[in-house]
Amino acid sequence: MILTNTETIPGLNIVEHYGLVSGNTVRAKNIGRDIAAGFKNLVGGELKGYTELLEDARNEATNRMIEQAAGMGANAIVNIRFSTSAVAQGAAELYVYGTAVKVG
Amino acid sequence: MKYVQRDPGQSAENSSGGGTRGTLRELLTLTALVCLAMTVLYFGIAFLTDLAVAGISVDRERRMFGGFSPAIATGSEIPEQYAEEWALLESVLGKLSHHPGVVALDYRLVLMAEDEPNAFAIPGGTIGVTSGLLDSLEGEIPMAFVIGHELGHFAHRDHLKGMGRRIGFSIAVRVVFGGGIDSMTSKGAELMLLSYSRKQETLADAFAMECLDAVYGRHDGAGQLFEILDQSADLPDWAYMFSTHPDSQARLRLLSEKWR
Amino acid sequence: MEEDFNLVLVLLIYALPVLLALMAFVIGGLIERAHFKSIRTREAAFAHYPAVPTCSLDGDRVVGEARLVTASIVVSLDYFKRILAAFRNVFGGRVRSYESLLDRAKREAILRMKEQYPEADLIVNMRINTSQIGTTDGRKKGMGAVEVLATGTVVRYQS
Repeated sequence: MILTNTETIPGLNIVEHYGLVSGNTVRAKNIGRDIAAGFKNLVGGELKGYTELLEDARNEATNRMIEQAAGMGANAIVNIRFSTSAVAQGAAELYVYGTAVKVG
Repeated sequence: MKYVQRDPGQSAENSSGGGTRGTLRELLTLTALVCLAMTVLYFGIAFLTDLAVAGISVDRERRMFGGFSPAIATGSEIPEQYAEEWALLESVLGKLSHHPGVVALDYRLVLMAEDEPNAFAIPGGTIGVTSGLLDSLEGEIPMAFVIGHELGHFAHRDHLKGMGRRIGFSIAVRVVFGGGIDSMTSKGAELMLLSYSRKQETLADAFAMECLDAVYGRHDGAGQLFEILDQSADLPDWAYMFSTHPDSQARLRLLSEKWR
Repeated sequence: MEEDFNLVLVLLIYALPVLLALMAFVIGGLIERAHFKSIRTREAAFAHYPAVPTCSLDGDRVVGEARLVTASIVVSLDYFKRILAAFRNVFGGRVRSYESLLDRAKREAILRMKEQYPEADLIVNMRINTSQIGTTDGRKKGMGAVEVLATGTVVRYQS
């Protein structure tokens, strides 16, 4: 599966498209990570725990999208967009979507 | 680029959360996790409390709470109608406090204007007795049982342990689970604390019986209060899950079985 | 008599949240199932009419009309799922109850765009935005009401 965030795949020809594919997941942080991040907030810098958590979640969402595209017989997804939004205190939604296409 | 209609099949539902089965699975996992967390929290707090109470010697308790007097007490003036009972109560306390199991606090009695027959162990050695109790008890042994029961609370440090658990556990549950929608956890916490309270009461009953046997050499009529309480309350067994004290009948039964 | 009343009161205090949750589980579940069912039938009816984030136009056909189209929906969790989500907040991990809610909301928003122009052929350059617009119960920890906004350009080919 070729994934791009451009309209086309440079060097390849898109034959047909199968419509929207998407994946989402909602993850909550746990209280341990919360406390660790609270301390880290004092000094600033990267909140490693959260980076990992969101990275994990984004991979899960992407996999769900890829599975959908594969189910349609596509071999590439173009114009992929990611969005992260806080949907509640302590929970974030990772949403990813793109167009499933066939490249020849 | 032409559009070709294709059906993604089951994968179209990849992000829909798993339906009712998914919800039920989440419910089961979370319930198990919450119960586990509550248990760990409870025993952690209980351990810390017992540790802290062990650190407060009886001597220190006397110094810390000696001057502590409850606002609900009606004061040192004992109404004329209770003068006789009060004198008896004072003499009972005097006799029982020499029992070797009783810890050395400066015990004193205060009267509380309250119709419900009850008595309280208040940090520092104050024993609160309600006027309802004086109305309903007759004779020296029943009174000695009640005083012995409260002395048992002091000997077991129940008043401190109960207070510590209550404060510590409530704070811990609030910190971990928050105080919002999950008020369910605070209800669960309440039930756990009540179960501990009932255990304390049973142990205090046993202490009172030992006191009676040692000081008076008899304990006939010790359960008088429970008989009175049992007549006024007619609750199904499971209702005692929500009560600070065990079922009066069960307490009576225990007394008659263990101290025949 | 008084004891009976007290007992009922105590039971109410302990059982009310459980009863409420049970009610929300049953009713919320029914509503969700009905909504998913309606989404699936409408999606099947619009299967010929894609909404894609690309500018994928059919090169063989001439565009007759192109218009901006937007649709939005605001959703919130039921009491039961809110309890699950609140507990999830302690332990972390995947929050299924939100996933189903947001999935429903997105699919509904896309369908609403299509329903505005049922005669069109496709929607291109589609974008989806999710934003928390406030908490339903006014508490900091409360579940957020979430808005899902779908935008795109609806295209109709010349016949």
